[in-house]
Amino acid sequence: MPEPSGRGRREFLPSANQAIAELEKATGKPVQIVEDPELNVLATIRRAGPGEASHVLRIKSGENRAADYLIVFECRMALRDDPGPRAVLRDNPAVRERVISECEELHPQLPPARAQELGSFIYRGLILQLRSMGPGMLVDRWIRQHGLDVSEAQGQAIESEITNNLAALKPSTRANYPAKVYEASISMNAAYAIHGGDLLGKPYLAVPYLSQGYGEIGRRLISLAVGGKGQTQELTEQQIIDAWAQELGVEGWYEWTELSE
Amino acid sequence: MSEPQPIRFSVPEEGFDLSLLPEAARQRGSHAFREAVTTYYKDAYREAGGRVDVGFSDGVIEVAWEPQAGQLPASATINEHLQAGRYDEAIPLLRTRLQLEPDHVESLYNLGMVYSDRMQLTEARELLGRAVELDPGDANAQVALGIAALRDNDADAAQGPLEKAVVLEPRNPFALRTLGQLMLMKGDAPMALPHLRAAATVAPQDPINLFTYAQCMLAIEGESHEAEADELFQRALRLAPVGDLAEKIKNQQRRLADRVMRANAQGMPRMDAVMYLSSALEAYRAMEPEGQKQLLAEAAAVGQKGLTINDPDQMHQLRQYQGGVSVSALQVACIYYVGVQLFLPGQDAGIDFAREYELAKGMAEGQAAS
Repeated sequence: MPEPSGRGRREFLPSANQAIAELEKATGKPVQIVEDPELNVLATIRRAGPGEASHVLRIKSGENRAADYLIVFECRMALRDDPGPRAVLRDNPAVRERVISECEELHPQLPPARAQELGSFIYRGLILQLRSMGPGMLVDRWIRQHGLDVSEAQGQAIESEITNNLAALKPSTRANYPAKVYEASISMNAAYAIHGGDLLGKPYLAVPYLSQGYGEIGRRLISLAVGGKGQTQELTEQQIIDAWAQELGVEGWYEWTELSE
Repeated sequence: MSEPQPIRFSVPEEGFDLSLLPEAARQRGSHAFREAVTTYYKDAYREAGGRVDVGFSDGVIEVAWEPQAGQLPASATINEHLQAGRYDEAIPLLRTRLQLEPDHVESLYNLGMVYSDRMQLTEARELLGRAVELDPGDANAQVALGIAALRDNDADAAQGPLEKAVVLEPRNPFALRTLGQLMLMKGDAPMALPHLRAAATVAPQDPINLFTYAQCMLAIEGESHEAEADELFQRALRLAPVGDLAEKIKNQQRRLADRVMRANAQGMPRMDAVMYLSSALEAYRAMEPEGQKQLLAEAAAVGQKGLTINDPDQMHQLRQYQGGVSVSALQVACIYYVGVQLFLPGQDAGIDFAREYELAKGMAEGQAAS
């Protein structure tokens, strides 16, 4: 069972502590830290909803400095929220069902329940990418520009993510996905690789995507997230996500709902 | 920076972007296609170093890149090459970088500068033009574009970028000097002057700034800046005592000295020079050939260090002249001038004593006759 950790049980790097403190101050709600050995990722934050007393930061047990980077990342993402009611992404059930049907057609050998699970997983994966990759670029840039103690962990995490994503380029992977979902997902992966490679001074990280012709779409997505020429104000999360969805041809695949306190 | 991780991936041949390949290699599955694809990946990872293996199987391209431990990051390698002037090594790395990131301003600037230095000016201007289009606030790129245009004999195209650079960085001595030089080239010394003065003020340890400022002063008609210009030439020479610039400075100093001398003499021959030239003639004629050569060589060596011929207090010792007396700078110049006329006819002595020399020769012949 995961246990509440509090800050006394584990040492975080100063910038991770700072990020947590800033989030608490900005939102007026504490960050509860939970060490969870079962967690699939190194760290994740669930922002406090209306009526909830605290944000919950779940971290994988162990002395892994990559978790510190993710703590900073997640807290800075949460800090990007505007004051007032927060808009959150929700599934568009009709689109989700359409993706599930397409998966069933692609995998006739699977039992219906498994195909539905796969389709749901693929749909939600795309929405998660859309939700996090574009706004995440601004946060990663902020972390890099401020020269924080998590910079090395950031570099390793970004490079690992880029390397792990390469598996999706295999022809066999492509065959398992509905075409539109695949193209949108790979395009976002390309943008992440181009952006991450540039941030780390390792532009060769983007070569696999450039060689497959995803360079232009990748750079357009980056420009939509971080701003182009003449743009003086940072875009909101919602603006970035909507712009990406339009560029990828998946607008209307989700809905915005306002959370009110 | 952390050590790079190996990279392995598989991609479909049918998905390879053919625009990245030469036209003759765009038939998928052909030998030429596979060779070109292999070259593409090897070039693309060149800046990262290490080893790249490319394989083809059943319509799939398999790529494996292994980094080399302890290898410097590409940007450090590129910068090292550029700073050391190893352009041949830097160019392919910069080209690959631009293939990966076509809008990488630093690479556009660096490759543009390299091409400009190699006088490949069409390519240089294109690259630098893109750099300033992407980042109009990059003063160095604006200056580099201006210089490339100047080198391409397109002074009009140079003016805009150089003026922008000076607006962006009013204390950038390179921008100021280059704009000033452009104005001088266009024959507008008064317009050039404030920029060159500013460059010399901001960066007084750069002898080129001092030299160019002095040249501009002398180019302004109707005004007299000889003393200031001469002082600047001397300061520049102290900073750059040898080399091409030193020779240019000394040449300008001689011309300035000549100009001042003429001005002081109000168009008349300088009689003190006549007397010194006459004495020099006598001295050379009284010497054995070896002694003549040594005197000429000694006068030349002293002159190399710079002579202020209009300053009577500047004295020099010439061991080969009249038993090793101290003589004024003007005397040294006259001794050198006579030696050149006698033993190196046709060579430019760097100062014009023609009228005075004719008078001196006339006096010497008159004395010989009497």
